[in-house]
Amino acid sequence: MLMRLSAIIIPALILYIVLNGVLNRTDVYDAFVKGAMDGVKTVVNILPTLVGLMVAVGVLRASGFLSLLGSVFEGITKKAGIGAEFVPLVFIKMFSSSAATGLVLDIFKRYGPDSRTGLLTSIMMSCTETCFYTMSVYYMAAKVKKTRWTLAGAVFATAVGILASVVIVG
Amino acid sequence: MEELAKLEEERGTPGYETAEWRTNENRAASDAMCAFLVLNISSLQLIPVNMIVYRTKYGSANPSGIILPALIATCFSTLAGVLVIKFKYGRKNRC
Repeated sequence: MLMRLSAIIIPALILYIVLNGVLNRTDVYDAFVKGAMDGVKTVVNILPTLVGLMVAVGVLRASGFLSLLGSVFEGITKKAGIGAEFVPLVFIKMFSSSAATGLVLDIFKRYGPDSRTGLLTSIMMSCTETCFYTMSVYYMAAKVKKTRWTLAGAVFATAVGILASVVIVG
Repeated sequence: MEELAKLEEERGTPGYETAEWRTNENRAASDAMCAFLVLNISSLQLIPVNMIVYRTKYGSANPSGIILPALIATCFSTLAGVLVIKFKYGRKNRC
């Protein structure tokens, strides 16, 4: 039921937007071209930041730093009965959503989505956001250099979300 | 949340691409910008559709069973974000 709903939601949204435009006698195609142009400008603006972030994440993964991180926290994760892959996932999720998704699928394949680690992963992924990525996109566009208390606040909120996931899974 | 909404109303919405984002001279984030991003990143997510789809693909017995626990967890993280903002604003001038 829910799957069917999520398959329908995007076509329904687009239909709604076009219909709304037509009913309000807007030149829908013209508005679309203008909006798409703005979108391209935004992409060009944030592209350097994006490329930098992607390379950084790729280096972290390829160099084996992530598995090192996992083994450093192995004592804690073992005691809590969680797979060692969970810790690197938490860090990667702060930088890149697609890299995090790759790790999530690895975890599901290895432990199964209904295992303790699988459940914890599902809930944690649902309550956190790509903190550094979001910050760099917005602040690059606004040309802000000093981010002041944004990072501290965002990391605190993310940490509380992760803690809540761990407590809920129990 | 209601209090925060009021607070944002008084100070003007810190939305993306408003004048405040564009005409920033000293290149430092304003309190409103920080508040906006903290709240954005703490991300209140109602239905984690992506995760449900992945869980289905990997043969979960109950893919949508994470909706309620995820909702509780996301409420906690957003609440934490709101508390940080309240704390930062509260220290300057009580509102």
